[in-house]
Amino acid sequence: MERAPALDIEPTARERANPLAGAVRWLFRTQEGILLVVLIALCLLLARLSPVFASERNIFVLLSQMSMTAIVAIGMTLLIVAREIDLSVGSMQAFVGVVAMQALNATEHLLAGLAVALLAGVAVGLVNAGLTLKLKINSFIVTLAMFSIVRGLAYTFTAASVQNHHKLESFRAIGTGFAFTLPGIGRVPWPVVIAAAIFALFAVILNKTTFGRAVYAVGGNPRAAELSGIRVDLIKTLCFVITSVLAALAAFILISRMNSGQNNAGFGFELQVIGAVLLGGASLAGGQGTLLGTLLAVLLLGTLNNGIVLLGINSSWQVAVNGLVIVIAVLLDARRRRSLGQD
Amino acid sequence: MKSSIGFRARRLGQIGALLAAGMLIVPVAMAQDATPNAAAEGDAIVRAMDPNNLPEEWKIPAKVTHVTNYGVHEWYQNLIKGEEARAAEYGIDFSQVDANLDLQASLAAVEEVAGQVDVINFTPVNEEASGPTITKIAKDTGKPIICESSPTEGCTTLVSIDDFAAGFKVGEWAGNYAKENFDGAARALDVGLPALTTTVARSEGFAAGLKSVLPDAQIVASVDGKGLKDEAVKVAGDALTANPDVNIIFGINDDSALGGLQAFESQGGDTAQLLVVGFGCEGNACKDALMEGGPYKVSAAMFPEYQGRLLIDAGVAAFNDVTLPAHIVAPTAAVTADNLGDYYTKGDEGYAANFDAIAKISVEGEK
Repeated sequence: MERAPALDIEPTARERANPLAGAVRWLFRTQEGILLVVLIALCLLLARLSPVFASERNIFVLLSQMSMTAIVAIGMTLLIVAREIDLSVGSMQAFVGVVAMQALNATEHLLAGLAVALLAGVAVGLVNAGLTLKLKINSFIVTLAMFSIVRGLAYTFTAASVQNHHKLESFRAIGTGFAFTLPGIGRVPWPVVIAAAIFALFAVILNKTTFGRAVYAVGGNPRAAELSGIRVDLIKTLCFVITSVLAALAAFILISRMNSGQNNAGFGFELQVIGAVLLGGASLAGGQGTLLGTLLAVLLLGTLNNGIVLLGINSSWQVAVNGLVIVIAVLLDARRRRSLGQD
Repeated sequence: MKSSIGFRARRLGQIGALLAAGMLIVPVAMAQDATPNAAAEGDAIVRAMDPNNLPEEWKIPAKVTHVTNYGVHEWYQNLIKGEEARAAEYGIDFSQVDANLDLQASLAAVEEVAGQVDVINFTPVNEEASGPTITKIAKDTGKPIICESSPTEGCTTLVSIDDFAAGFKVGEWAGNYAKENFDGAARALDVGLPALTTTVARSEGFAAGLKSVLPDAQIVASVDGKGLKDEAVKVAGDALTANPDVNIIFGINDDSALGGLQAFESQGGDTAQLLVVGFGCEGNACKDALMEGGPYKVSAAMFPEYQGRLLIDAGVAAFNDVTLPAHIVAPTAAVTADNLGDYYTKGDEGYAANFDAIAKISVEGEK
């Protein structure tokens, strides 16, 4: 099963012969291309309207804020391509946050806190996969239940928040520090570096490995994948676990940025993530979607939200914009499926 | 003659009517005079109540339930602690039911507990929508319903702070601080919550208080942090890049203020040139931040534990037919590292409220 970009129309012989025509076609006929055009147009508009939009400071603030959404969206892309979904990633920001901060306070060791966070991610992922695949319950239902259970656990762990009592410098650096300085550009924040590394890793995994091909195959046609020897349940289990672990990693970065574990963190985060993945071209019907599309959608949404605040527009519009994006994404998904005769 | 008799009769009738009207008007006027007095008296009774020294004829309600709107918030957890402790002093069986921001669940809970308790404490999910149900239950059962946070039709009384006045207090404090430390320059970022009237009043009160000291002070941006720290970090981050010269951050609650501070720090801002002003100070996070000596220097403390006491005391008073005012104003204070110790004592289990000191805070002129 080949992965399919959003508006998948084979290039013509003329386009193959002329790379420029191919590029233009890619820009205006694929979802990734359209997202890139819209993103560039939005950036140019905001740079014109706001004197600070293109500043180094704003760009890195913007990229830092989007990093956590991007990290989780990478996992969610795999899961949606595999024809499953995880609604618990928002509640995980709260649950993993309070648990990890408690572990950090108890051990005063960065790696111990990170390990607890990632293990919590593995545990939630395995439960999601087990209930979905073994009991044959729709992952929407399972993870909706997990959404409540995990949030409830976060409330049970702490009255409101777990404060930073360990004062580890390295912990604060993860969310607010800078990894290195790019000559002529500026200091690059750690969250951006982490997100970029995870993107590169999973781009290779999804596009260049047997596992990646299996993810598309499982999502495109699970029965055919099974008949061709792919262990569908194993692939889906791995996708669930990857998503939860990446959600846990994002939660760890978030608590570093907030300097506390909050039991009310991550409200609506799952919608931002799923909205971005769908806008990026992934299909809820499975088998379709690219990490590039997801990344561009995350950048577009983040830039839009950033612009709303920079232009002094009531920031409550951010919520409406996120909802609107989901509607647009679903419409694009429906259009794509119609074009592929999947109705 | 007929007309003379008629005139006299009309005259007598008019005099009679005047006398009758006078007989009605005087008591009504007296009652109107008496009502505010009775309410003020009721307010004073509630503030001075002592479970061990009640009038002999008073009865103690057996059961009190508080139907809260969002019990997982630290405010309500500390408020409930205060109510539980006070109820135990009276020997009242106290319980809590939480609606978790579900209006239907909230009203259903009030209907459910109405038959089982003597007094209902109630925090509305939506005050306007709750009004008709609360009015009906109050009328049908005749039981006192003591509201918290927002005024709701049908409630016996409301126990809550004056949000505007509390915002004004910390705004004024911030103005004086900026005068002394920032050469009178004040460019403030408001991390607000425009969806609620109470939090809007906090922001407005802060701005008014700040400008009362520094008329040229500016609120350079107002953003919606939704009362959540992660959201506050995000929107404050964006607002601070647009307004890098902000030197005061106001948050409508602890999380908003601390989120604004984190956003400022993560952008490498000079915290020596920053003042963070919070609101609520219900949890340890605010108190610890105040004591750290960093830019978080003042917060409008709302003393949830003390409000919990007031709620129970108001319920006991209403149960004994004491006339209460429409609003019992709960005290607030601009708390800083210097005076936090007056209101809270830090122990092994966190901060314990000093009720005597809080009770002495004046609420004169607040509504």
